[in-house]
Amino acid sequence: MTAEPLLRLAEVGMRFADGTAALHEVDLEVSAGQFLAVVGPSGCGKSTLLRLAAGLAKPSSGAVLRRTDEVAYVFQDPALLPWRTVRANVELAAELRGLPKPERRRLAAQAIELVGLEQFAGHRPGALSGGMRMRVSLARSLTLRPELFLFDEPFGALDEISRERLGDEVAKLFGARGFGAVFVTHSVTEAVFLSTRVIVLSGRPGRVVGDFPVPFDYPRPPELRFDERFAHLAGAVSACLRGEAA
Amino acid sequence: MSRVRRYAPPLVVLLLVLAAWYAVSYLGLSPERRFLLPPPDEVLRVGLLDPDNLAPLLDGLALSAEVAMIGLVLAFVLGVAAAVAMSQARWVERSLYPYAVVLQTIPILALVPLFGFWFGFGLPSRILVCVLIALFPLIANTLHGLRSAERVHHDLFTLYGAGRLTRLWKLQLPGALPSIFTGLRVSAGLSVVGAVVGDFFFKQGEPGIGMLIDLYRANLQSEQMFAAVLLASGFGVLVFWAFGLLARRVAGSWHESVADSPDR
Ligand SMILES: Nc1ncnc2c1ncn2[C@@H]1O[C@H](COP(=O)(O)OP(=O)(O)O)[C@@H](O)[C@H]1O
Ligand SMILES: [Mg+2]
Repeated sequence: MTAEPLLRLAEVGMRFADGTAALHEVDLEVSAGQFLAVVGPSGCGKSTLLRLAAGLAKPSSGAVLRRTDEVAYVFQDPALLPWRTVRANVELAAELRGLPKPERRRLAAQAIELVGLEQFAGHRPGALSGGMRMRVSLARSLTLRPELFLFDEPFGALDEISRERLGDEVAKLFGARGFGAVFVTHSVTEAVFLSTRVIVLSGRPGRVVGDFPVPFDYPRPPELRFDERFAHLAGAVSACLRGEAA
Repeated sequence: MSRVRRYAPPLVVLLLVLAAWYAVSYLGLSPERRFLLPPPDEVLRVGLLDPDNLAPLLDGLALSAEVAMIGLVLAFVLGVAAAVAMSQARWVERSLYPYAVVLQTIPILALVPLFGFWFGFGLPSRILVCVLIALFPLIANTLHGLRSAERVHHDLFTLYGAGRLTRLWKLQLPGALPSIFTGLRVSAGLSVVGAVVGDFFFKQGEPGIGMLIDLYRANLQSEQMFAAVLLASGFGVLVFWAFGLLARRVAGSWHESVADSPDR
């Protein structure tokens, strides 16, 4: 099942038209059942990496190979359409793909239930908290059963509690569905808790400077965050990140 | 309490304006020159409460209102269509936008007599004045609204393979609604002004309220003239308010600046 990677970046470099070099010779692979966390100083090219992975931009050197079109992208901002209700926002992905109405209704209802927002299905995003909006965004990305998930610091703007709770849910989903994922975050704890592997990028232009396998089994209980081996690994990732940031 | 807070300030301003008006009429002007600014109660009594004077005023207002609204609808259709075309391709924008700006800068009123020569003195010329005067704010506001969709939303649509039309229909146009309404309100006021002032210049054909203003001015019937001016501006306010109400109906539940606009 892990034979063919879902996503492969080979010596990917990115230089923008204004001369900004954002990424330098980045190699990485993600297969189904792998959850890759990416940490790095801000501005090093993490969002750029995801945009390349999703095909929203073309690399200036190297190659991006994707074996699936079922890609979900969870942005830093929930990216909800303020004039649509929660239900209609969640339906959007299926709607844009041209699925028939009853089918997308059903998929949206399932996804809304999964993130626990049934009572709010008729509300507009303006009436929801930041954490709830992020759940809507997550639900929308779940509707099409993506094989590859790309997360761009999705919970970065939330308070600690919502952040951990949503992290627990993503871990649970991953445990259940075994998709491939690239999860960009600036929280080392979040990276280690969620992933099967953590990659550390250098400052701009981002290069891979650290690669840490994460050995914990799924499902991961929330208490794992207080485990000694967890703290040890998180410390090593932090040290690598600080060494680079300095 | 909140009612008092809401209505008291504009009422106070109204009273102050009326007081100043009376002061100028009775203290500033000698009786033989009072026709320059007749006091408010005279305007009300002679201009608005006397059925013989009110009837032609209302007929004129109805005609001007019809001209203004037809002009606004045409400007709306043309303006939104032009903005959509410009939003789809830079070259269209580069070709058309300079001329849209010209619309704003040429003295359209100076062209009014010309329209009379070219197109006659009937409805078409009068409507044309309204369209030309109301078009630019609709183009500019709609275009701004269509362009204001965030990159992350565009990325989302790209990710799920949405085409241009879908993007326009499901992302850009709904997002542009608040801006379009801003344009509509500005243009509605301008269109009313265009109808009144255009009519003022035509001096032929069926009399709209602008022509009546000019007629009363020539006859020194200043009570009727002021009544006509008040009716015309009252109509402008009504239109402005009505579009605000419509904007809140359509977008107030999700767009803050629409929901919070101060007039009701
Ligand atoms: N379209 C662009 N044009 C020019 N520079 C860009 C563009 N997008 C991003 N950058 C620059 O590239 C660098 C990396 O950006 P980004 O990938 O957003 O970083 P990160 O997500 O790690 O904070 C930053 O310095 C940013 O300013
Ligand atoms: Mg970023």
